[in-house]
Amino acid sequence: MVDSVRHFSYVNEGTVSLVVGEKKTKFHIHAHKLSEVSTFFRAALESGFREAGERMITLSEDVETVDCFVQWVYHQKIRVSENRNCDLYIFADKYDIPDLKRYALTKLFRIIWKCRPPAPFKVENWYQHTSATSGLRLLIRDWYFWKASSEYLASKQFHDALIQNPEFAADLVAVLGRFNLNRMCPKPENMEIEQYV
Amino acid sequence: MLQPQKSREQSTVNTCLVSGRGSGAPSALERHRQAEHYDGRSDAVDFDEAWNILRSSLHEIHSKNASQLSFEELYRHAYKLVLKKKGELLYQKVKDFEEDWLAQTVQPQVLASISPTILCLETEAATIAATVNEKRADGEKLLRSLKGAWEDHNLCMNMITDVLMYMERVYCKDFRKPSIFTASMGQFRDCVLRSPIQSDHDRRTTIGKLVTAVILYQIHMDREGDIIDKALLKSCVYMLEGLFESEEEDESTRLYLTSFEEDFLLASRAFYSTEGSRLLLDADAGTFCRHARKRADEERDRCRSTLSPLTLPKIKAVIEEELIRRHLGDVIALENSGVRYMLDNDLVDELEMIYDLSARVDSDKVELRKAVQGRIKQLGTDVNHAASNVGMSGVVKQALPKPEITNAETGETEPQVKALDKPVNQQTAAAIQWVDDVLRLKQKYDLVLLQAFQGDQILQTAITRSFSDFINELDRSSEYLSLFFDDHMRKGIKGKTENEVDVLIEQGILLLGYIQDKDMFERYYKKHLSKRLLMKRSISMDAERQMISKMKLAVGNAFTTRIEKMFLDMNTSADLTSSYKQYVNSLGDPDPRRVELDVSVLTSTVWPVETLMTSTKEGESRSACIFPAGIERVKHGFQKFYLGKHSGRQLTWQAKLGTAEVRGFFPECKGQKKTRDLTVSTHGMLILLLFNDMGKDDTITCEEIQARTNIPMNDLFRNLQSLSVAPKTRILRKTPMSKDVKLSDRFSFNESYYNPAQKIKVLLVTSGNQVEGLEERSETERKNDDERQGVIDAALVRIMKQRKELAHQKLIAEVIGQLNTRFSPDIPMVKKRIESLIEREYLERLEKEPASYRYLA
Repeated sequence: MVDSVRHFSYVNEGTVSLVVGEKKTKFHIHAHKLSEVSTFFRAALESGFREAGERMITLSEDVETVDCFVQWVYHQKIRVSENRNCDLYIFADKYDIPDLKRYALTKLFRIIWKCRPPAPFKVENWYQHTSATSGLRLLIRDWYFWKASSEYLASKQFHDALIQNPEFAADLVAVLGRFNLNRMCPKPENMEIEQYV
Repeated sequence: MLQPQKSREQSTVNTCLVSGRGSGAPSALERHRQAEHYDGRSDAVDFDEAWNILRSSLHEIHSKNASQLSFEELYRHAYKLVLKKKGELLYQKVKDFEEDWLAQTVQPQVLASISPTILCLETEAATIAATVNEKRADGEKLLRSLKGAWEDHNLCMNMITDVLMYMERVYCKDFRKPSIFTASMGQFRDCVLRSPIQSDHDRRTTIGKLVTAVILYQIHMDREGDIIDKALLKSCVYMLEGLFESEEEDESTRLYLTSFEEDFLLASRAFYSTEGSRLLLDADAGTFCRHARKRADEERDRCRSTLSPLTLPKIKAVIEEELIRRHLGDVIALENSGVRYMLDNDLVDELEMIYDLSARVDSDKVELRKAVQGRIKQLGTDVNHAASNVGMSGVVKQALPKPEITNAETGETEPQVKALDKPVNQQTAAAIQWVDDVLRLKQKYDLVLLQAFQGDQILQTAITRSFSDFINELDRSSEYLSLFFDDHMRKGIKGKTENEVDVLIEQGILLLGYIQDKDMFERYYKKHLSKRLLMKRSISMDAERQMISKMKLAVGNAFTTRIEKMFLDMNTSADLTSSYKQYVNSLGDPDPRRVELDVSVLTSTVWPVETLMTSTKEGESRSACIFPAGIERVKHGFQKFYLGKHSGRQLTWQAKLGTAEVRGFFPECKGQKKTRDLTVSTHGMLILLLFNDMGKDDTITCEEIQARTNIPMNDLFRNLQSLSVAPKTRILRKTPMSKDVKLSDRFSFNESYYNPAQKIKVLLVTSGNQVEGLEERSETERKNDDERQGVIDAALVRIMKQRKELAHQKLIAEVIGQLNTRFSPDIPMVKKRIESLIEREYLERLEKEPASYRYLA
């Protein structure tokens, strides 16, 4: 109702606490900011559950991730490692924060052409926290496709890793197969972020 | 129970963190994962654990205890299940839970609120006697219970959908499943609304049907004037609007449309059908209209406040069909209150309602149009009858049935038997009365059109046509209208302001617009105008000119050019007269007894000379009058002067049209002054001058006067009559004294004539413009037809010259099109003119189909 006004003023706007970690670290954040970026937080604060009454939401993520999130909420930019970016992506996916999802993915997209892909156990972790159509999965798949050395791909270590993560294996097969069929593939510099978002 | 789950979750997150930091040494973690992954049972256990928590929470939510639950925790469980690809199972479980809840908890609650009284609403078997109030209360109980159930369900499902948001986003989207909210709405429809009522034996009645019946019953009560809880109805309708036949939620499958609206429309149709027939029997037209309009407004409001705006056009159609269209014709025709009654009694408000209703159901307003046209036609015919009854005097009057009585608006009285006494004057008065009546009628209907019919184009056309019809039905309308103008120009506008004169002229011109045979009107107008001009009878030349310019605007330039030429002639004549006087003075004529001359020179093609001249009988010679020497001298003098100015012209003297001022000496007159100034016609002057040369008691016979003056017999009789019979101007003695003049009558100068006035106008019997007699009339028509032949010839040649070749039908159509502004040509006459043109070799007939003609240059 007064959403349009909320964009311009924090005066008299209530805050809520995000409670994180074993030490119950509290982040105070404006409720309307939360509702604005995420349907999860909006539902938590407006749907008549306990959180709505207590003005306090306990999150099961770690303090650093939530800290990044809060920074992002107020500044729209944060400086973090690529791994942290993946965690943020998962956080955004879980709590339905589309803008943060895109932000994290864009940051990843900028670096993947410059460095080696992450270790398979990390990949496995991320796969477990995303769904089949997730942009993060596509990005990691392509990352491996472009940047993993053929020796590494043929190694026993990688072989074992794939057994642990059959979905990842299937994704890789699909992209390799496409490469074989077409005898050509897009150059990394021709790729667009829109393909992942 | 929650505790172990929570700690497990916590540990997973922790491993996440370790891996997230990207340190080396993955082996320990990997082992941990491996174990988890291969343990198939652990997944199943996970699901059951999580589902148990969720299920009890769903129950809590439905029991309105949600404020005790942590949203984050429930969300997390659902999220986990979806990540573990248990989305489908979760979805199905939730659905099962909801179905169970609706069937076991909600449905019985609603069923419990059903009382036996309302069961009979649906079956329409009035087995249980219940008062209206009981039925209402019981109905409201059901609606209220259902409304509560529906609102609770909505609220809870919103919360549950929030909890299952991740499932919606991932599972429902990827597998194209309807949202759990949508699915549960369908369940509400099936488990609550469509669940059969146990006590009902044939098992067809459902809660939904019963709700429809209750709503319909309440609306029926509302229509009957009872008070109902509209907000309650609205929320139930809102529920029906929010539910769909299928999970695609297609607009057209709203339950409101599929299972309520039709019943509502059927019930409304039945209701208004009965009400319409009853009203028609009981009420008058005004009441009917008021009621119908009220009903239409009510239904519109009902759609806004109680039902859905979607129904508005449909219920409107029902009302229009059942209440309005079906009965409108009858209402309009109602004997003592219908449109005729309204028109006659100026019931503008009611007419406005009738118009409003007509416009709703019929853009052509056929019925109303017919009624109005019929009334105008009837009133117009009455006016026509009144006018022609006077005209035809007694003979026709007895043959005709009594005209329609009591026309309030025309105030027309029955033609008087007195008409026999002074038929011509009476007739002229009736002619003017006719125009007045038509104008009054026109004004009345203009007002009705404006105030009641909102200036409707169709009705305006219809009214115009009706007026035109009855006006043209009277074959003398052109003559009457011209007489009306004549009367006003001579007498009527005296003492009127410029504005009033303006209005009067406008009205007359308006009537002129209706007249088809404008050439006839022109003929009469010219005739009447020329008398006005020549005898100086017009009160105001300004008014005359204004009339012409208005006529020009209304009927066109061609129509007025010849009339304008008449004015021009009058002006040049005045100039001519004054220059002639100057000329005479410059000659220095010493004779003081010389006759003064005032001349009007008329162009013979412009002025209706023929009608102005004496109507001579066949065979009678048409030689000029014999003027006495003194007059003859003046006449010659002017002729010489005029022809000197304009050579090659021919002047014909029209003694009949002139007037003369004569000073008479009456030796035996009472009083001091023995002289009187007499204004007589030129003919009268000729007669009087004869007596100058006679002795005191000499007499002269009518026959002798004729021989000495050569005045046409007809004019002579009339002049002698006004000089010797009319009581106030008895300048001559007539023997024997009788009303009519005979050839053998003798006349002598009346020396003892006395009149207190110094100036005396000797009025000629029937000198003013009057209605034509039958003979005169047919003469005028004949002349007009002659003229028309010429006009048609001209039009034919004009068209053919341009087209060279043209089919017969097209030629006729073009001729009619061209001439329509002047008169509507008679088809046989056009055909005859074509024949004549072929004979005269202007056209030739072509041997082909369709029949065509070619122009011969």
